[in-house]
Amino acid sequence: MNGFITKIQRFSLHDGPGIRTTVFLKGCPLTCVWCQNPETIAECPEVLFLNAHCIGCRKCVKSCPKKCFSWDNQIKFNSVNCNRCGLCIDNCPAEALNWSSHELSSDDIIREAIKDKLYYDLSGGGLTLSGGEPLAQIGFCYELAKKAKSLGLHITIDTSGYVPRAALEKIMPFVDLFLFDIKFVDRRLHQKYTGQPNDLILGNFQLLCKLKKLVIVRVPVITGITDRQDNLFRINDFIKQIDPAIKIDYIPFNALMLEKYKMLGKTVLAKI
Amino acid sequence: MKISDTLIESIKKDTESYSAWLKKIKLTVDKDYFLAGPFASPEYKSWPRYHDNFHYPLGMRKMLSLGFAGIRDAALRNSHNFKGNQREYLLLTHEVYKNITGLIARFAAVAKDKNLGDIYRICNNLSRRPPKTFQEACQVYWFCAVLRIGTSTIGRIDQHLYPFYKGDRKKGLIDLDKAKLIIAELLYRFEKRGAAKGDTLQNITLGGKNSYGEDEANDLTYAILELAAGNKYVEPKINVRVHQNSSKRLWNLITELQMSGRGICTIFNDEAIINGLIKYGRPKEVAYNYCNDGCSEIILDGFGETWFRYIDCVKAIEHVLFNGEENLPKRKKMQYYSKNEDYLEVKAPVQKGQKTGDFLMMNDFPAFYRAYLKQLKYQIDIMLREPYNSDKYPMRLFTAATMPDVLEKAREPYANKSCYHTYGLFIGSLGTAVNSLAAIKYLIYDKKILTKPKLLTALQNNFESYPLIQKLCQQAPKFGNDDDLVDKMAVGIAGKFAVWVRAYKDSTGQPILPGLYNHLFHHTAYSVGATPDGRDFGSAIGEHISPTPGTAFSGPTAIINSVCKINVGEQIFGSTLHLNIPVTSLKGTANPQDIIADLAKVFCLKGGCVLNLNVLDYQKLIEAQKHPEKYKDLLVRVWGFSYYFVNLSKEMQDHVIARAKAL
Ligand code: SF4
Ligand code: SF4
Repeated sequence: MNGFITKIQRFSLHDGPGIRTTVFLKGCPLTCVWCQNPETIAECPEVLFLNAHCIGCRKCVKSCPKKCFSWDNQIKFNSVNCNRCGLCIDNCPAEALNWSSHELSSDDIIREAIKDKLYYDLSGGGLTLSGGEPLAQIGFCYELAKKAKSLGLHITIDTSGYVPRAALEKIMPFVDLFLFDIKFVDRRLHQKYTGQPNDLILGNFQLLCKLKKLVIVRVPVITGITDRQDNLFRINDFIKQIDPAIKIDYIPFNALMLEKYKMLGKTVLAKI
Repeated sequence: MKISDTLIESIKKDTESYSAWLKKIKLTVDKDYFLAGPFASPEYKSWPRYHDNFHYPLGMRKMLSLGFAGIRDAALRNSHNFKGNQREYLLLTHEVYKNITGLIARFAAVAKDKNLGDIYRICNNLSRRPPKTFQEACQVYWFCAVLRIGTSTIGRIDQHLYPFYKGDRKKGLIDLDKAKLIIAELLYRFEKRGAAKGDTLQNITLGGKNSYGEDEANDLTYAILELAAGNKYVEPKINVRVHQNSSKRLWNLITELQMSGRGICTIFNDEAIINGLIKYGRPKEVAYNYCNDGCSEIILDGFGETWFRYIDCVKAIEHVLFNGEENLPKRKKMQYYSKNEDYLEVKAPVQKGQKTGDFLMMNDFPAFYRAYLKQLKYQIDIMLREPYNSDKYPMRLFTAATMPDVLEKAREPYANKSCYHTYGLFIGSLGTAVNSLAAIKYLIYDKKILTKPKLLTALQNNFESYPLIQKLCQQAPKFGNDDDLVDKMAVGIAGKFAVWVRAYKDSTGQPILPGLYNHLFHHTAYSVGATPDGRDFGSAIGEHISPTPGTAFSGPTAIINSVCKINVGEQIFGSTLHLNIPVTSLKGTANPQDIIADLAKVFCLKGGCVLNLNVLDYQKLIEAQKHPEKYKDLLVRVWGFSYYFVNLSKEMQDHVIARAKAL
């Protein structure tokens, strides 16, 4: 089976224990205003523009039927009208334009991940599936996790929790650790900033805890949004009352994302 | 194995001037120190490297078991068994060591005058017999440093001192704290002696396993590492031998030093290196005693000397493209590495190649590759045609007497089979050569997106006004990304190189050792023109066995994997991977020290030999170049040593910055 992958990151040290390979899957049902991986939100591949590679030949300006490119001493890319015809990518001679995701088979990924098996074994690391929301491609994740597990890899899933309960139950037997995002306990705020309510998320979280799955909670700390004291207290209370032993990691905001939005020809969603 | 007349003449001359020089050594004895002797040696009138190049340690096993007085007496005693020049050779050795014990007796006298009982007793003893206590053995080490004229390689100091420490402990004469104080003074003396001069060769090699597979790291190994973590010294350069049974404590100390960002603590992998040495005909007991020289060369502690030559495998690419000619936009004058040195014109070791035919007529990649191997072989043949040592400059007697069988058989070490000298040939910049080959294969022959004349024109113009071609070249596959297609070429070239080099023998019949190393990488960047991998003249070039700076974008695990596909165990003269871990990538991880230890351990498991792992702060280097006054104590790795960043030449600073950016 094939999946849509934006990136495979080796020597990844922040997505679970030890030295890991993190696979970023495309597609996410949430639209968090501060999203750090905007290239993973949409399910279909998008055009990605890498200014550093651009040699200014302007072939894209000529080839795009939707006039997404303009020239102002450098290339300006606006993807609003893009119909994903791919002409610009075919015409760019410098690999400055690329698809944001690629269709890869689970074997492709296993082949890449297994290259660092020795590092995983020594450091207690392994494979992390992240996104987007990896479990949005549950069929693919299931196949991949099953294969990886049979090779003895430690598997971590980095999830928003906004997935059908059945998907979670299906993948669970192969997963050693869940990195579980909790952004708000307040239903209304969750809806406001992520586009969806949080009942499903909190329910899934309780399920994992009940089944004694190893979970680390990750709270994205976004200035002026999630970092309000009452929100952080409520998250803490909610978790500790389920199981005081659960670890909570607070993840600071990553300024890199501004660059990423430019690459996608989009403007940032949140006013920060 | 007679000693020739010319040889004995040369020895006589050197012995005369050495004996005269001995008299100039300052009789420094101070109440604040455990040990006697000045920090620095007096100037030597002729260039001292002719008779001793300082790149190898003295035979300290012999030195410590016989002592200065023992060598003096053995030389005289054994001289009766020989005739002619051999007898003369031992009598001259006797004379040198008589002068040395005389000097040590004068140290004793000065100490007595100053009422320094301990130092008096030690020096008095050492002028008459071998060292018996730990402090006496340390004193021998210091006298040897001073007596050798130049700063030189030190070797396995923790192993040689350990029996004395153990003996003293048994007798209750010393405890670990006292021993640490004396060692701390010894380290301080090496620091002062090195005087922040950079490439001083003062390397120590700690730990290792013995031929029973047991870990030889001892109290002194740990003491030295702990002291090095606490002091801010540049000297002596710390190197550690590791193996499968190395302790957690050892790894913790190693990684603590590496995390300190001073670019110190290079790792040597016992399993790969010892096996490699045995394969190259070194006996087991010799191989287990390896240590390292100033450029991470692997040498044999107490078994003979070492010397190296190098060729440039990137230059061979240029020679194929331009049918044996160079393609330099201009000649460049550069400093060695420090900004306080003279400017000299940089040149490739072999400037003109063979005529391998017109590049435009090479119709497939195999044709190009064959021509490349021819050019490489040509350089090797030129470099190894001349033997390494000659009658003209025999080893200085002070040094020679500590080598195997010299006193017993009256043999000059250079022709002495039991010495196991380490003579090697290096190629560096393999990563850049492989990238160039990969670009040619990919762009010209496989994908046909670039034509040969266009590539040649772009290279001749150093890519100026050919930015598109340069970008195409830069985007071709690169070594260091765990990409089999590229890495296999590195494996192939390295394998050929090893076979060709070891076919050459030194004067004792031992094979010349191959190594993937080039300490002059920053010069190479200016002695070869633009390369087909998209690198322009002067831009950083791959050092040793490392990827070209800026082209390994898949992280350190991919770099290690790529490099370890090469059979580095047969590149036994040294094949150093210089691996930079950006400080930012480790930020926020629970156990950064464990992470870098795990990287190093996998490197060893995969058969890697020498790993020089640095945790680097890219931003800091940029700042330091702009505001040198604020970063006076910022140390960075150069090649076999660390040096103050702000004192490096501009080109070397640029290289260090480029390599820090690589990830
Ligand atoms: S076609 Fe590619 S290289 Fe040319 S201007 Fe557009 S993005 Fe840049
Ligand atoms: S993929 Fe989008 S941006 Fe590219 S040419 Fe087609 S419409 Fe234009």
